[in-house]
Amino acid sequence: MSDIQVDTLRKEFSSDGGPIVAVNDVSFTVEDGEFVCIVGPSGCGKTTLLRCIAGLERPTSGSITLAGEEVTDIPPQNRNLAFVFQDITLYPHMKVWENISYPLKLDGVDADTRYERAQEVADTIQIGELLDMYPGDLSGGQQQRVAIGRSIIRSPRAYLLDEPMSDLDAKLKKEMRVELQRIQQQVGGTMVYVTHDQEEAMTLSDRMIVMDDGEIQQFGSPQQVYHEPNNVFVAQFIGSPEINLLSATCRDDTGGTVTVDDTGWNIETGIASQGVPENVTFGFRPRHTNVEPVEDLDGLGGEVALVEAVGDENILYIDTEVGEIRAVVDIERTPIEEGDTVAVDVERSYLFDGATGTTVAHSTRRGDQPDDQVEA
Amino acid sequence: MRNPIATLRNRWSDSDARTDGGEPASERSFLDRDSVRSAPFWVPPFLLVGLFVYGAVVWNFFLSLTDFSGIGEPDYSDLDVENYFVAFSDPVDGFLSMFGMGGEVSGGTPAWSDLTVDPVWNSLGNTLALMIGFSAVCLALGLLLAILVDRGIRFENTFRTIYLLPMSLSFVVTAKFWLYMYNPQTGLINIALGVFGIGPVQIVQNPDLKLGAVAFALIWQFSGYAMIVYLAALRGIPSSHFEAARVDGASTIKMYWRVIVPQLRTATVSALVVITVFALKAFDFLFSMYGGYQPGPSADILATRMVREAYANQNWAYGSTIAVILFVMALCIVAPYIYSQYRRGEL
Amino acid sequence: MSSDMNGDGLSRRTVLASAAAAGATGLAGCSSLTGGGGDEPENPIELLHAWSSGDGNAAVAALIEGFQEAHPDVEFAEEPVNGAARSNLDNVISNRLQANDPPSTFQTWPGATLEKFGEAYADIEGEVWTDDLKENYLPGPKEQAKLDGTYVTVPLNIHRINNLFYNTAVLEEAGVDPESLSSPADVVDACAAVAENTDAVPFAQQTSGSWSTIQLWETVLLAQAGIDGYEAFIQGEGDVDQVRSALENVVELSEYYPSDSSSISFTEANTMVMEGDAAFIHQGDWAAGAYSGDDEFNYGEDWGQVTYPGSEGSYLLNMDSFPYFDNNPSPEATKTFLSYCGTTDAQVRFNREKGSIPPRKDADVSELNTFQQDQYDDFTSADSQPPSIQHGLAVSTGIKTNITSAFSGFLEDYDADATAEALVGAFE
Repeated sequence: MSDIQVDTLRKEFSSDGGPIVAVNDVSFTVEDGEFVCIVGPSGCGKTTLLRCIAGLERPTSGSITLAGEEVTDIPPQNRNLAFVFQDITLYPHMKVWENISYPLKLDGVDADTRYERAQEVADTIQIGELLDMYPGDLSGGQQQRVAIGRSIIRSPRAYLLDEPMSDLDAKLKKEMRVELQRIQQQVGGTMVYVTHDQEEAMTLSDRMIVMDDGEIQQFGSPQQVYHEPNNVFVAQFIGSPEINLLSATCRDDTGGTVTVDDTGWNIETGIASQGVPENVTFGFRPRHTNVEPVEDLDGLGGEVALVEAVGDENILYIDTEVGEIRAVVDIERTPIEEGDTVAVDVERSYLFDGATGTTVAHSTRRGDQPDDQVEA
Repeated sequence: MRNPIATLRNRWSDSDARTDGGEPASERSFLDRDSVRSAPFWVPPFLLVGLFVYGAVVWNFFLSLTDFSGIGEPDYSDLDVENYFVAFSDPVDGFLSMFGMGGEVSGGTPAWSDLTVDPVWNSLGNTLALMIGFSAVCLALGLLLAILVDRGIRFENTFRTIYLLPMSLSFVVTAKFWLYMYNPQTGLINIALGVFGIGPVQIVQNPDLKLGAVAFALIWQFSGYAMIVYLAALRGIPSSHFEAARVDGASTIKMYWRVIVPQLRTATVSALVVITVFALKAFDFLFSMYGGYQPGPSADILATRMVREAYANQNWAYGSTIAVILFVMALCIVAPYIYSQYRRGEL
Repeated sequence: MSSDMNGDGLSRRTVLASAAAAGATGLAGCSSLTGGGGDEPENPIELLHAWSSGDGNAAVAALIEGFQEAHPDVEFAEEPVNGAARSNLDNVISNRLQANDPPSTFQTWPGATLEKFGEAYADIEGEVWTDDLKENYLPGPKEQAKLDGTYVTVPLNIHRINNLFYNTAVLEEAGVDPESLSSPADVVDACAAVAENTDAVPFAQQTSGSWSTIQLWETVLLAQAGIDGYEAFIQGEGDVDQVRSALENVVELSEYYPSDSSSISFTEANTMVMEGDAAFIHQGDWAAGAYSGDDEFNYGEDWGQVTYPGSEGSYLLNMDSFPYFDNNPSPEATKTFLSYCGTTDAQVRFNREKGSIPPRKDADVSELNTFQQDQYDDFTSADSQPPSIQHGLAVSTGIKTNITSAFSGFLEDYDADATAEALVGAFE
């Protein structure tokens, strides 16, 4: 097992319209034994980054170091990494045990030993009874287990997984997530896991890398990324339902109160940082709201257009003067129906620079740490 | 190929199920059945193929049991397998002669002939040698070319076209072309050999090289076909299979040998069927190359022998016998393919 | 298409000209054709042939033109069968006969080849083979027109096989006098002289197909074993020593072939002689057809011909003929046509283009070229006119296939002993 250091890695693809930069001078370090998810929208360069680490793509510049050994120019078969592909890559002409133990075959291990090792691995991933079947006879989840089994049989330096669950249905995904965490704890390996599903990344990662447009937007623990996003993009990408964002003007440079543009709504943000610019983007997560039905609306709020029930919670879609905003409410505490007029009270706010999108300041949760300035 | 049959079978089983289903189904008029209503579409081709392909095969078999010699009506009242005894007369020496062993092979004199008729051992041996040698090399070369083209070389389309182009030529053109290529004075082959200080070698009438020369020309013509079949199959393998093998630690050769080639089984079988059938039909090529159906004992195949017996000697019944032997050989190649397709539920 | 239109044109003309034509020709058959007003009109003559190009095509066109001048009332549907050779034509006929739908007549070798479709032919003695024909055909060709003693076909030309053509300039350079050669062995010696004294290939020959070698061997056999030995062989009573000796002579000659003989065609071999790249070529007189097409290459000056040394006095025959099918689709018209083919007029017209000579001894050959006139003199004064083996006159098709098989093996290994056994065994 080993750490992975990526230093100013750049990957360009040539195209008719000039080079396309897929990964733009990215640097980070994954610690030994750490589970890191790389998350981002389609085309953000996350898969390319992973393939560069695996050696399947040759970086344009920069370097990759595995356990202190620079591997940038070493072909994939000599890097001793495991790679699990998005389209479950099993060799259809080999039985399950042959698939699992194929890396050992390449190392010249004899058939009996291979079968034994495959059996061990298969027991670990709970497919011990499937060893003599062909991949075509397995379900999607079983196939993915086999693919993972193949990646863990050889004790590689690190596991690289490229959206391995995107072809599975939701229930299976949840199961496999638990399974994967269990396996990771058991084998204790360094894992780099690429996904476009922020929820998956949040639940799995020790730390996560949020990427957009070939660049790392934030690298941190799920809590950091969720609560302290570096910029509008991260705030928007992480968390479901999506964060509400409103253009606003800051009347003083502490950001304590902002006025939402095109309205007269003054909102107390609970922030007291110096140097807040005048033009800001005001953000608040749907979960950080209190919603009350009102007769006459004065301030942030509007008519409930849609109530979406998700288990114990309701997601409200509220039509306001400045567009739709989302709020999550406890189903029992707040009986609200479509058509009701509601006022929205924000518990915790974010202010982003209106021009660059960088986070300027964010409040702590009201009530958790009472802030005198806000109260004042 | 398989879809119409599968559809037909499904249709039949569907209509069966409906009939078995109880009153409502059986109340439907016979004329309303799908199989009956679709009859205008499937009956004519069914009958035409049945009559002109399978009917002709059966008829040819009966013809091989007669003494028919070309004029008038064959006498179907007196059928016997004498022709087959003649064709395979002297079985031990004959069989050994296919491998260059055994003693003198003598023919038989059937009732319908004043002359001794030779058995088919020589042409059978040549046919088998051509079939096996040509098919094996053709597939191997086709696979190699397909892999090279698939590895994203420059001008891939151009190469693909170049390799496939010979297939569009008729056997006649190929034969004349290679007659020129094999020319000891001006042919490219001998010029190439000359570079290595070999030759000039007489090829076209050389008993040791003749069959090989024929196979070589056919390989030139058909390896492009094998390439296209393989290329399509290679393109059908997800690129992650290549990459997975790579990450698992496979070198390029191991990757192809252990992971990719085994997945080309279906492509191999279908290319093999077509190519071996082409080998059986190399008649046109030999006819053009040697200006008739007498290519000489070293290159005589069943097809030339068959036409010779039927058209030159008017030994129609014997020609039919050889045709049946050819048919059985073709069947031996195609049948395992069809059976495996059937086993895999594709038929 | 064109023949259809021709037919239409003819039928329109028939109305106007039939009466006059019937009177003018005065040949049997015509009156019955045009006279019987109540009879159903006969089918047009359907002639199948393989002369789809070159001198053959010109010759058959000239023949048909002559026939239509003489018989404008007879409809004609000429059908060249495209393909490499007459083997293809034979296949067509074979299929037509099996379908019981024979054409009126077709191009075929006479002699033993007739046995191939033997039962399908009908006797035309008297109606076509009149006393006039019987008197004026020489014994050799007349014999070849018969199948088991019955006249079934009309030969219309004669090619000679036992020729040795040479390029005068090359032989002069080599110091060889062709007239002095008197045996096949002399030819080998002459070739040695050519090889020694010139850069030319001594003996132009193609060996990709076996036919050239078979006709060379049969010529050598005739030259060495004489007419008696040759006749004995084609009767199936050949002497294996004579056969082997002839083969050995061919093996010796093969030393002087072009090195790429197996890759070239007859045309290319013949061109070598024309261009001075080769000294000799043994071929049928169709080789001369190519020479006469070249104004720079003239008979007597640039090229010459001798009877193949040792075979003087024999005229080794190759002929084409038109047989008469029983169950004929156009019985009267076919007989009219075949009768016309038996006339000197038809034969001169045809052979002028084909380069061969008329089989009738009373033909006026002044319209033919000098070479043909010389050949015709040779022919009429020949002691014997033996039939060619290669060209299907001497032996039945089954035997010929055996002989061809033997030679296709001979071309691979030049084993005279084995081939001699196979050749004598070809009759078993």
